[in-house]
Amino acid sequence: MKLSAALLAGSLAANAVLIGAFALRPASAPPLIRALFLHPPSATAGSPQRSPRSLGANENLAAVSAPPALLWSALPTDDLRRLITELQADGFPPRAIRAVVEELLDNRYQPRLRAFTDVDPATPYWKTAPLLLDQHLSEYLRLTAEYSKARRDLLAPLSPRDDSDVTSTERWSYGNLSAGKIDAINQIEHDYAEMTWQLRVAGKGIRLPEDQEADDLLDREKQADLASVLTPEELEGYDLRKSKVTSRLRPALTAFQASEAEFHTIYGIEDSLSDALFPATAPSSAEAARQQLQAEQQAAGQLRAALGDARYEDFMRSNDISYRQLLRLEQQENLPAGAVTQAYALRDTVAAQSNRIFDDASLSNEQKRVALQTLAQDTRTQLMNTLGPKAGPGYLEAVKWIGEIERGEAMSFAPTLASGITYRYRVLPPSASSDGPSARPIAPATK
Amino acid sequence: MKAPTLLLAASLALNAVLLASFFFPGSPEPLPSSAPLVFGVSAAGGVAAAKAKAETWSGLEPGNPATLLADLRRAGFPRKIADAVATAEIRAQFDPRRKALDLKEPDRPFWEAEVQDPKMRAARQEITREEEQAIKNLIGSDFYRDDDYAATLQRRFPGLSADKLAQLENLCTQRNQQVAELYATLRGDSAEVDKQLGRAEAEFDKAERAQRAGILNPEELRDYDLRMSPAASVLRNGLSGFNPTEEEFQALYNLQAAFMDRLGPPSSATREDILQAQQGLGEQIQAALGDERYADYKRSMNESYQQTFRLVTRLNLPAETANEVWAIQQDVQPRMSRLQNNDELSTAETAQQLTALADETKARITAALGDRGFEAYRQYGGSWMQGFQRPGFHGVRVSPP
Repeated sequence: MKLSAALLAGSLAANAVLIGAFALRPASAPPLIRALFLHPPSATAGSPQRSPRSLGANENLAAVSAPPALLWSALPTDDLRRLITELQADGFPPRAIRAVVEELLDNRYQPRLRAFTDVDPATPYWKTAPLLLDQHLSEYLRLTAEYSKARRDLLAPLSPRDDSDVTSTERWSYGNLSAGKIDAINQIEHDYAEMTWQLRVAGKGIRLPEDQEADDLLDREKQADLASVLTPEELEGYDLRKSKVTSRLRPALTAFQASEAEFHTIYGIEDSLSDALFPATAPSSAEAARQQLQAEQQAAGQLRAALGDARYEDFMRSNDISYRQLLRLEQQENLPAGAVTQAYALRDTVAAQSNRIFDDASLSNEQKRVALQTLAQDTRTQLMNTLGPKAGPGYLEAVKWIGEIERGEAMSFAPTLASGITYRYRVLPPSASSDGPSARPIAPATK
Repeated sequence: MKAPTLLLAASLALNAVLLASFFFPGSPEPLPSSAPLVFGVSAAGGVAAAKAKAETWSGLEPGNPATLLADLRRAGFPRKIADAVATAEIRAQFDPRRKALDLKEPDRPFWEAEVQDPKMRAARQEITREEEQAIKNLIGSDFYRDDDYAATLQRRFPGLSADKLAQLENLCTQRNQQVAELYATLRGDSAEVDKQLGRAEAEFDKAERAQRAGILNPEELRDYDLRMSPAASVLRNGLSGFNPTEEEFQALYNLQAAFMDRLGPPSSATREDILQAQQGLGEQIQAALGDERYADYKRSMNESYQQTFRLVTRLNLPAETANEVWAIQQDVQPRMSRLQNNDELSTAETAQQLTALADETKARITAALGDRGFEAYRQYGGSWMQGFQRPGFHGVRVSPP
């Protein structure tokens, strides 16, 4: 008897506690009785039903049942999956739900991330505080990964697309893949870019050999993830579009207007020699410089043989940034026919003239200097006349070789695959009237 | 069964239901007697309630973003979230136009750069302008609010009152609006636009500072400038390894701030103006710091030294190591230059002597940084060592090197 009384008392007390909890947190209440905890409507019996539409327009909400603040407070914002389900049940479209969830995720993570990367208020203002302290690094990286995963898991299902939503930029980037595959690739690219960025943060902007190992590991894992989404043919196409060789070639190939066959030819040759042609760091030894030169000559020979002389010359010209600048100006400023060819050819003429002046034994150094300055000024005038007042100044600002000739140097140049054009300047000795060493190290020409 | 027993059974059953619901909420079911959820208005019957619940969104008039925004705010949605939802609806209204325009884009091969036709670009920009204007009309100055700035203020100035923080945030919002509205009116090539924007921003900065002086007391204003101003940031970012005292920093800050005020926006100053002003500043800093500390200051501002300092930090070596490596560079570079310009040596002799100097340099730097550090130094601070590969300068210069 006493036991059952105690049980009854305990059970009733538990019910009272639970009901009190539901009153504080209505979202936790069973759906059937949740409304009781949202405050029952104050509308009297028989009052006219109000449509949501009429209530939306400047109605006196005091006359309406629930205080409006209760809607937000009734939503389970601590549990984002439940929140998404509830908003979907309320008829919210994916874009609206996405907007809500994105902001809530930002609110949840950004202050915590900022606490790691913002300057500690306790740091004196005259001290340079490191961006991210070493002892916080692993927690910061963990939190960033968690934030990315939460965004991925919650937001991806809210962005359904069909193939008609694929944009022209995406077709250019990815080819004829479906919207679903493009979205999957975008997510993979975003995630690996995030992880790569994390490595840069951890490395404080300095790359050491072990960083390359970490990058290589990420590359392998990324390829594996892509292979799980794409067929082998699709993956090959993706790799071709995204490769560093294609990115590097793109400006030149645009000016060159390469056919597909020409692209594959040029790509194949440069890809096979890319490590030697485009080393990650500038050659630090004579041997490394020699290897780069050898690769350059080998690639040039193969390209000429494959493309033929005329198209090879076209390609090397397209590889020259000066030529591409002229093409851009031609399009932007509607230059007259032949202006680009004339302006581009002027460099050849001026180079030859500068060397003739430099080698003229009948002139003193001072006379050579004056002649070179005059040559430079005449060149500027010719370019302005050829390109006009709108295009001329921009091009003159970009081409540095005119300034070098003006300073008393003879210019020669050669096209290269690696840098487009390499310039060589022969420098006149400093004028006899100058005191002390010249600002630029100068010595007599060839021994 | 006796009543108490029945009561106990019922109470225990209710315990089970309430506990299960609390810990395993499950999917929400439509409310039996209210719809739409927004306004809690009674509706008759469960079926009607379920239908009305699903109509909650349509009841908010999503086709009318202003009404939607007002309803969401009245329903207690936080400001930023209500803004984001209404903004998403506006963007959705412009999507069909973007899609129609996109269908007109010709396909380009992936090996060519994606170059947009100027008319298409102008059309896209017009859509973006209209969309932004619609969003600005809807959410007003919130469009220009910088929440990162607000968060930074709160962290860095915990002693400032909420009212002063709010006023500073409003100043920032106003400035962002001024810059955006000005930028929308500027025309011309990018260099000209940069110049005009730079001049205008300098005026906005002056006005903002004057207003800030009206919000903060002199001590607070000084504290703000020392932590947040561009001059203070330039100094903190540039003083790697200098380790200034508070007095030194304040002296440098006063000079740097005056220098930046005098020079005006960088895009408007000529190269000659900048060089001249920098020389004047250098002389003032030398007078303020003294010769020895001025030498330390100049070293810390050198880009090569800054890279070396970051490398030393990454290698977890003592900060002093960066100074050691710098001293090696200062010793070796002039010796390299003298060899390269020695008329009495042939090219081969120059190359031989440069190789010997390179070996000596490598040994000294490796002793300071280790083998791993030396290899990394080639890239971070040590690019000057490429000069060892150029014995044949002798009046010939190659560009790029």
